[in-house]
Amino acid sequence: MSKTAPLQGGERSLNAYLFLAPFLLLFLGFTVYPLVKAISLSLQQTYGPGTSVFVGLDNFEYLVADPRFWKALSNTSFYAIASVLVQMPVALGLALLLNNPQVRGKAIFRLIFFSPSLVGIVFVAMLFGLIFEQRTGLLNTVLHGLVGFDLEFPWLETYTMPAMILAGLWMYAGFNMIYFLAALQSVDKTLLEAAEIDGAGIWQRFRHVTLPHIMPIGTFVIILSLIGSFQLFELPYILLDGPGSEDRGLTIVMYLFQTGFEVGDLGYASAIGWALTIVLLILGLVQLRLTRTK
Amino acid sequence: MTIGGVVCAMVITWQQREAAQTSEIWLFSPQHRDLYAPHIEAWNRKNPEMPFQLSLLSQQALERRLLSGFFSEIPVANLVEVVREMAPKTFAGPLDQIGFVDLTDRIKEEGIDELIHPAAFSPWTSRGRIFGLPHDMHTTTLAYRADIIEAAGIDLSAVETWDDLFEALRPLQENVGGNEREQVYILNFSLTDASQIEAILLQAGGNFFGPSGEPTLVDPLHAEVMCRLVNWVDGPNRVAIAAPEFRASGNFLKLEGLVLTNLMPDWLSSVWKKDLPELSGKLKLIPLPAWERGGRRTTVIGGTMMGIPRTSGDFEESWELAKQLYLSEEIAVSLYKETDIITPISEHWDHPAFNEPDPYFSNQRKAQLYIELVEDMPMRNASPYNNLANTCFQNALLQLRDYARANDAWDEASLMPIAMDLLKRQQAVLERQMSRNAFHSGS
Repeated sequence: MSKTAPLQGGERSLNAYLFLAPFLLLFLGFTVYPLVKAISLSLQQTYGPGTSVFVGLDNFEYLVADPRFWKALSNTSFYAIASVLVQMPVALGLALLLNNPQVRGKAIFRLIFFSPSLVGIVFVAMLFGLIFEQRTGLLNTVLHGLVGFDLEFPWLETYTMPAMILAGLWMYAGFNMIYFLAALQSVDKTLLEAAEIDGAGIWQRFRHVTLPHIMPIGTFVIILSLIGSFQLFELPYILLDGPGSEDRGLTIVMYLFQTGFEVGDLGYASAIGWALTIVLLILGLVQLRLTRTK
Repeated sequence: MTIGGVVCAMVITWQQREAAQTSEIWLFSPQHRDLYAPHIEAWNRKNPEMPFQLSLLSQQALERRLLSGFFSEIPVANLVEVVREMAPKTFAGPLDQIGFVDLTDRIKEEGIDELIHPAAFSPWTSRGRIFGLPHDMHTTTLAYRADIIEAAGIDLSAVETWDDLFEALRPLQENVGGNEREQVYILNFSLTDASQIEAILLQAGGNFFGPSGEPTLVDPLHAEVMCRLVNWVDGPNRVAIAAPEFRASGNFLKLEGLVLTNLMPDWLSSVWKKDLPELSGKLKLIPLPAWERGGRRTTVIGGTMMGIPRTSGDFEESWELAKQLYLSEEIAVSLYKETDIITPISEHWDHPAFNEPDPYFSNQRKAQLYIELVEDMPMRNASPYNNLANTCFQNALLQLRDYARANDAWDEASLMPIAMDLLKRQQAVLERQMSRNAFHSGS
């Protein structure tokens, strides 16, 4: 049997770089270059990438005092926080329900609850557009039939954010439920039995045994939902056909899109992008901190 | 993901090489495609060395592709039809960087400007330069439910102003019983419909921008328009309801006769014929009631142009085809027959097709009415900030409505100072955004 001679220092590192080259090239081309370009763009004012002037930190100065940016940030933050506050209890509740051994037909319920997340956000936006429609919309028609509610009530104009939160709930509650269900199914049953023998009631068992066990998954789901919510774009874009009246549905990503791809100011859009990056970075650090503590 | 990116880039490059061999025309309207198809075939038989093909895209897709192409300076189609809302977005940069070829000199040299009313060029003219051939004019009339109104013995022929109209039709709005589902309103109008708002503002003599492109939101006339519109849709003597076009809820109101009149640009009548065939023979048209006695009896809603992108391979070929499609009498007549859109080329208006009665509108000679209104058409602006200005104006309107509701103050004297203040605030937002643009000043 022949034996291959071990590679020497220079040859060894050359081989290593050759093997790494495909990844490095793609990483440099599609990750590092866009990042560097985004930094340089954020210091320019542009009309498309072909026409630009260097403006230093003007874009960031403008951003700080831009009422539309703050409106977009407050809308997005409101949506993100309210969505989490509404979605998490519902998702956990559904998961607890389906984790109950007495419930029959769990597979079907799982499919029913999960299925909205299969249809895509564009479909959800269009569906809720029909539900909230004035006069012929499902909501107004039902409320009018039940309590004589105003058929012309403009839900999307008056309660823009709650309408979007409701649409988000319908779409994502089942998806998040799957995470919680997986976490609940991994709770050690002997611990629950021991707690029951010790006289703990349902709430105490949930509070002191189940909840600490599923907390890491819960934290992960919350952070994931927050990050996803901060990237909200398609739902209001379709549901409101843009930012809605008085920018009530304007989100950070929608503002970035309008600025970069409708106005052509990629410089200011990059500055908005960096602001969003900072928000997401903070959320990421919070997650890191919380999961590390646990 | 990265592999996907590489594959996409290769596909795009390959498609561009393919596209370079055949010239493309991007359209958003299936009716326009059907209309142009035989002419393109004939053109291709005559010019086999430079064939054209029609590509139908949704308006959003066309906008995305065109703007992306312009901004990144990659080739797009050789000819493109774009709508009023989109064209100004391409005018934000320096004049020599605008994605469309400047057609001003050719239009003047060839006398095309003498064939078309100047107002039809206005939405496609940035800083005095024309970037597209106008496809239409879209003068606007008022359509009314003749079957209901005339049956009630009301004659609208003497109506001259909006106030006259509301006074004449008020009995029909008030005659309805308690069921809210059957409440009749006089006019289809909404404070959140940008095109309706701009149409009324233009009719009243307003404009979001002055001749040099400076924002002119703060104007007592605009404030007066706001006060009246707020009263139309929400005041104690409310007359209007939102019956949006292309939507089931809007069509329901129109079919049931729950909204009696509607702003009717020429293009919209073909939409109604298709979507609301039940209304055939039940409608009539009159010139739009004026804002005040002796005022303008029309406005303009929508519009389309054909532009030649700068990256178009052969300008002369594209220009020739564009002229053939837009200046030909045969196509102009077919355009009217298929879409009710009246050509802006005045010398074709003598064609008998434009004098035919239209059964859908109770056999009125509809085209003649639209043509008579051309001289009264308002000029529009082509500011890249027009959409933002419209949003700002709309925001001011909604805030004024909220104020009126909260204080139960609907009279003009109470609302005017508030309206002026709101306009000042919105103009500041607009000016702030405009001041960022180092490449564009003026309209």
